[in-house]
Amino acid sequence: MNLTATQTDAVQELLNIGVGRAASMLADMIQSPIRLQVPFVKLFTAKEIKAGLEGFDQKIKAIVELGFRGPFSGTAALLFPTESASKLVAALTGEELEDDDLDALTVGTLTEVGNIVMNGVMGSISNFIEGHIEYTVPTYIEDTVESILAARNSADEANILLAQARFLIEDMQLEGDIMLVFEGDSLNAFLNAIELDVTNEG
Amino acid sequence: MTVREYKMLDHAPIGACVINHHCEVEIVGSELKTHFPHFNELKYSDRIEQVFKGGPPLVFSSQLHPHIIPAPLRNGKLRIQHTILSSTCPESSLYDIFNH
Repeated sequence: MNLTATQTDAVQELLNIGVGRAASMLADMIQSPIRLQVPFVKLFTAKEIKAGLEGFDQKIKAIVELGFRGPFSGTAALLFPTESASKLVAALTGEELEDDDLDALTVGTLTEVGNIVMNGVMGSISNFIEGHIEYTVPTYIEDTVESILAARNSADEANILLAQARFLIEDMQLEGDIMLVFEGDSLNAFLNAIELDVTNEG
Repeated sequence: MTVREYKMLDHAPIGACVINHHCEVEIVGSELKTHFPHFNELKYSDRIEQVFKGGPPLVFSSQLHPHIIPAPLRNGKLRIQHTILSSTCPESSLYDIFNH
């Protein structure tokens, strides 16, 4: 399944609205300008990612994930290479970076950052969906994406929207990924809602 | 309480504070913001409001919010807190809970 150009534009705009709100919240928290952008989105299946296709690397990532269940169900996650994750926390807190290892304090901060970003994204998405969505408490893990999909028993057919997330903090640019795993027929429910909105606006 | 509501206790390792939509502490019937004015700041009020609107739980990390509800230890130093705010009643969003 591929996204049409209209769907890609709509999804990218939705995500940019969500991360824009998140950036504003983060900037307010640390009293320093932050910009967050989503330069592209792409759709995969779990099977493609498990097989390491499309150049998706199998390195261990620092991952904050949030489960959701309702009119559409799945998992939202913010993924960083571990060295980028520690640099991001150092940039946000202004504290010196001793090494790339993530201690409990750093993990807590990263979980909050992931929480803010994903709340922005899910808030933006849920505006298009009627019905209540239930969420899990955000959790932090370090693992490969392949292992996480396997551990969550994601079906090979599960659709995964992958979006690059670019953090611009002062003169630093850090990149991670936003991953939305849609279980079952959830992606269609999501895309239908967007299509309706696009049609209504058109 | 239903079994489902009991699940919130999985996230309460040390202590809990139950507030309603007006940030009133249910136990004493007074507003949380009166006792802890920093909750009026947008970085708290905006995020908390989203939970009452059905949004995901919130994480307030100990590095960025070390003393969200100041709680002194016997030696006078403030306890370092990692806090999660989640809805206890998703359908009505009536009450939320702080855990430390």
